[in-house]
Amino acid sequence: MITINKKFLVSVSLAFMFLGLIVGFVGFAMSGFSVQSYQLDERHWYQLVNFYTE
Amino acid sequence: MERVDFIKELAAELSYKTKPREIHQLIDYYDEMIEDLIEEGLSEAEAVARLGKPKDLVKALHTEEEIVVEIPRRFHPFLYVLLILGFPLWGSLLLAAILLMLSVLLVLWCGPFTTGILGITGVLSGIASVVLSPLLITDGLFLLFSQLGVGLFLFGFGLLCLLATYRMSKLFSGLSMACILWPRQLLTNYRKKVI
Repeated sequence: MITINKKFLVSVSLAFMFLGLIVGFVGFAMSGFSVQSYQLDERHWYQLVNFYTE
Repeated sequence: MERVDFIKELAAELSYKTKPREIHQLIDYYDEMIEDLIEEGLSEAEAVARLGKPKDLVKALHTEEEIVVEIPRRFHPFLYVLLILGFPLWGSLLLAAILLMLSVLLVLWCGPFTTGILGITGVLSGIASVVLSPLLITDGLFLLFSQLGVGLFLFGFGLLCLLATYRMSKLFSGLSMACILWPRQLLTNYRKKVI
């Protein structure tokens, strides 16, 4: 039986979160820290990330 | 066998293997138990017979084997009448206790339920965000990176929530079982006496 160390899983989860924050920040930096640049004229179904602006 | 004979025989059996101070405590304990059984309506000989032979009791004491004696409870007819007449009082109290226990269980399981839902949605939306992010390359590289980053973060967060759900469920299932089994154990222990 394969046993997975729970501490290892916690470290993996935290690593994913940290990596996600860095990559997400890089993406936001590439947009020039502009929320408006995420508002496309034609939004595709596969664009899951957006900023809500009134 | 009569009560006095039983105590004498027990004391004689205990004197071979037990310290004098402990003999006194044990004899008091068994004497009290015989008294309990007599109070429940058994005759002296019946009460002594219920406990078993002194030799077996001493043997069980040294092997740390538990002997359980069932104490019969005889209900007086008056008690039944009182129970029926008092139903509006004890019935509502019982209902309140059951509902209170149910609400405690409900509140207890709100935690694992919330983390479970967060975990499932986090993992699924994370996978969807990561898998679909390459399609955004034509719209802008910043969109791809943003979605990839958010996807990775959500996946990690979801995984953490699922781990928390597992840990909490394990802990709360034990507590819930204790909550459910506690009244049953109380009732069983009321009718039994462990020697």
